[in-house]
Amino acid sequence: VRLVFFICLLAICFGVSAQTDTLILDNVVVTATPWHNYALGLKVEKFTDIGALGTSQNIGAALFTSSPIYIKSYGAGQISTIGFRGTSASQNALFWNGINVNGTSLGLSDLSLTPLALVDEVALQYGAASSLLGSDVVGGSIHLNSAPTNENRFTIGVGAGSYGAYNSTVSGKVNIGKLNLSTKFIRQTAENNFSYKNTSKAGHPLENMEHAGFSQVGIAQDAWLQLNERNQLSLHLWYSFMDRDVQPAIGTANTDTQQDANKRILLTHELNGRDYITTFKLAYLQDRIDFNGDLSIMPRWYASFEVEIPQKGFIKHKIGANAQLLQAKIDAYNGDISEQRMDVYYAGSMSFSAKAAASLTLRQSFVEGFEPPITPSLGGQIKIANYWIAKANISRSYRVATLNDRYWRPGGNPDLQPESGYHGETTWMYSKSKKLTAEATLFGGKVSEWILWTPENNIWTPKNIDEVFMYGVEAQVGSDITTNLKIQMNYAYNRSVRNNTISDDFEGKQLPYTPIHQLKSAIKYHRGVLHIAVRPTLVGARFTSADNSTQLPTFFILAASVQANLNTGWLLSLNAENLTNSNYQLVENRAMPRSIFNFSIQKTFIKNSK
Amino acid sequence: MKLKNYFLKLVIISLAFLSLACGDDEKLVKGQYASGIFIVNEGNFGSGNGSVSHYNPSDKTVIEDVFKAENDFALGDVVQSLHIDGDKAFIVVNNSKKIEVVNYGDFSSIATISENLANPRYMVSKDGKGYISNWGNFDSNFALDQSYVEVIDLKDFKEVKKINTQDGSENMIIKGNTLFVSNSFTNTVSAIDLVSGSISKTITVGNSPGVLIEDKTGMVWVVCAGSFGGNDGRLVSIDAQKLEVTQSIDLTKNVGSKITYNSSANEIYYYGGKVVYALKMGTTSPKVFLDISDFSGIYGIGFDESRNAIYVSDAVGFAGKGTVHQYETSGQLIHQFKVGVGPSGFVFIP
Repeated sequence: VRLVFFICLLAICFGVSAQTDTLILDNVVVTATPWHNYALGLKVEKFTDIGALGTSQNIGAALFTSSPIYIKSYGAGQISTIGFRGTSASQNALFWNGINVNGTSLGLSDLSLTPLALVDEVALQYGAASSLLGSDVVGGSIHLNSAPTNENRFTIGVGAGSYGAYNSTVSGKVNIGKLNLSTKFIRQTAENNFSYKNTSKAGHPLENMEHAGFSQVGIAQDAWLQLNERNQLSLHLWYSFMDRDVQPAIGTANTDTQQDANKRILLTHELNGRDYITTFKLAYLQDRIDFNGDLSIMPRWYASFEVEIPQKGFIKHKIGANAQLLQAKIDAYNGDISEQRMDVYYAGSMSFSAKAAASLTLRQSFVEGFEPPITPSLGGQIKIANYWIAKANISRSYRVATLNDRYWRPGGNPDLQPESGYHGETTWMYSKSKKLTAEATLFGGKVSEWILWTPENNIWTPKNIDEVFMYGVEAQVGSDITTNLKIQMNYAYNRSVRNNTISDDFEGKQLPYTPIHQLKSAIKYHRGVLHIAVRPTLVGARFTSADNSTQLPTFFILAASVQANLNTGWLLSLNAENLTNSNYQLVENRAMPRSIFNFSIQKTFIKNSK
Repeated sequence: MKLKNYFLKLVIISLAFLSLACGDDEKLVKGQYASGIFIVNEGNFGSGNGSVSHYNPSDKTVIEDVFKAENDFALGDVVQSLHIDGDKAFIVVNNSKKIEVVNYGDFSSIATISENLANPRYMVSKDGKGYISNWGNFDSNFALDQSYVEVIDLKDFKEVKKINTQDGSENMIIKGNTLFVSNSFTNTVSAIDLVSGSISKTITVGNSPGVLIEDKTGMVWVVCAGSFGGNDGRLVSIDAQKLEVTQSIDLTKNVGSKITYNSSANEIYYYGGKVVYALKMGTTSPKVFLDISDFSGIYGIGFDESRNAIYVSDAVGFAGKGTVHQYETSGQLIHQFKVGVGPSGFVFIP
């Protein structure tokens, strides 16, 4: 049945493609309206210059110091999950070229598996956007994209750092007529034998971490082909492999090893007609986890088709559908699992004037054994005065239970309901010049049917238990003090409070691992070829238990980098992390390294095509 | 009325102390924790926050994480059990693959045993030797490699012998010269002859055998939690001489793997979900003893023989501090208090 569906989609797509019309286009154009134009009122932050995120190779570590996201990291190079606005890891999603790539078994993404060197653009979307983006987007989402350029460039780099860290990168972009090619490669290894205070031994001796090393390889290959004036094809391939020793909690004697391999293939076709734009995507994704030799394989097929009616008068719309076939071969499940999911959605965006715009989205998801709610969202933005823009969005959200939640034996619960939430937010932005830009967001929401694993007769089982209220403030101030000196600061206040839960002791308490206060900043200075960046990060106390009886203390860390960007195409960088030698933890008893230094050297060859 | 009760208890406790002081001249243990109840709190797996709490039933005070308070370092990950031998307590820390040895009176650290242990579970001792059950290591298919009982000399904590058992060696009891070991991944109990140090018999009981107790007639009982979703929990009695099953009572549901025994009432207490059942020895029909509706689920149970009280714990989803309820043998709630994360066991010091 699914196959028939795919074939139909293909047929529709190419059938539509066959009709031609004239339209003048650049060499390579991305035609469809970016998704966030249909999510007005939501806060979206785009980083087209990956360098702006800092020099860390790991996207989790980079976002931790440059955004209000809390990254729950189990150690250096270890599993790192996303936490927007006080939500749990599986209530956030990672998108790769427009597809949610959260693992299907755990329902979350481990950012340590995504080297920054393999992506061209990063966008952060804050807040609930299930209506536009589907399941899992309750707290927010991270979008990784590949982007074509007109340059012909080739870059090669090597680096070495503390605790046996080495990395090498190679990337090339070529532009041949109507074909754009991009290849990126990274290999990095680290022994991670950093010293830490062993608080499980008398006198808390400084000991070397003996089991946290990793070795990672990643390749991304992208191709864009302008078939003719109206048809564009693109192909995106991703392969990443991480082999690591799982860093044990202080005081445990684990010697677990884990290997993660992620394969992704995506074919996109875009047709730009006069009255419509269609986008067809077909993808195959496979996640493979080998934990101590125990293998889990999760393949997934994905197809989507979207038709956009470009702006006519004041309104533009799109409708779309996507279908997924999820499979899982996991020992703890009772046999192989196969599941079909389908979504249909509508999105409309209206610009009433140059000053005011609004968007409306509607989604219905179909998942075997589930009844996800119809999920609407309504947003708008308005220029209220010179330099001032106000935005607002209200929406419903949902999250479908993960495969582990339903099929894990023992304990899996096939009777779970999707989590369901209501959210609202408003952002006020001020921008007169680059001398001062400021914005503040106020958000609030409620998620019910929150899925929680609890033991029953000593067997853990998930249930729809909690109701959680989330609210907070995000504020951001940036200033180009001079053309050479820039500062940026962001502060986040997050409350995630339980209402209905398993014990009165948890009632009204902050969820574990959701910091109430976070202050992150960056000071950048450049003179001549020299670029200096200092990143102070202050993270407040985080409770480690639901009754808030235990907590990890507030910490401050400082990262800094010095880069010399020589005209000859040479780039020399010296990076330092945790310069303050802070003894901090992001997860209880998972030691983090003290000061780390890394030196890298990179050479770029550029040849402009025209 | 309350005051009267209080005095009565005080008199009983004082008498108990007097009788101990007079009758037992080995009782030389001094310190804050020399009497009372140790509660074993597993902690969250992989978080290194297991602990031992101390509860003093006479003034109802709780001291949390006694080990860290006295030694200034963390006890470790998944504290499985605590065994008393002489003036020492042996704390088995499962996922840290170690045993912390302390003077139990003041909980001062004596030694850390970490050799030859792989997923250690419980410990018993007799005549200067300690017996530690070990699941062994898991292989890549989450099957156990080889479970065993590690025998150590209690003078230097060095290995004496290793006795291979069946998968998931769990709880133990010594009766005469026989060590009974429940093999929790199977349906058997291994009977080991302590003189020869070898297995004399492997006794088939029921699925997932757990805690073993001895009743006042000298019969050994084991609880079998049942297979997953099989509703086939059992209480099985074993003749300690003949090494044969004498009685096997079908409990018609899955039950917790822990039981406790009240000798004066001659009853075994076991639990399923939020309900504690009592089974009188010699009968086959259990009765509901406690229905603890405000629990999220029972995680541990223990009977304090010397002070005649039943303790039941709730791990509250391992999400925060666990809860302990203290009951009279009538089922009357006496007191409830908070302990560390994941309370699973009780050790009673008269």
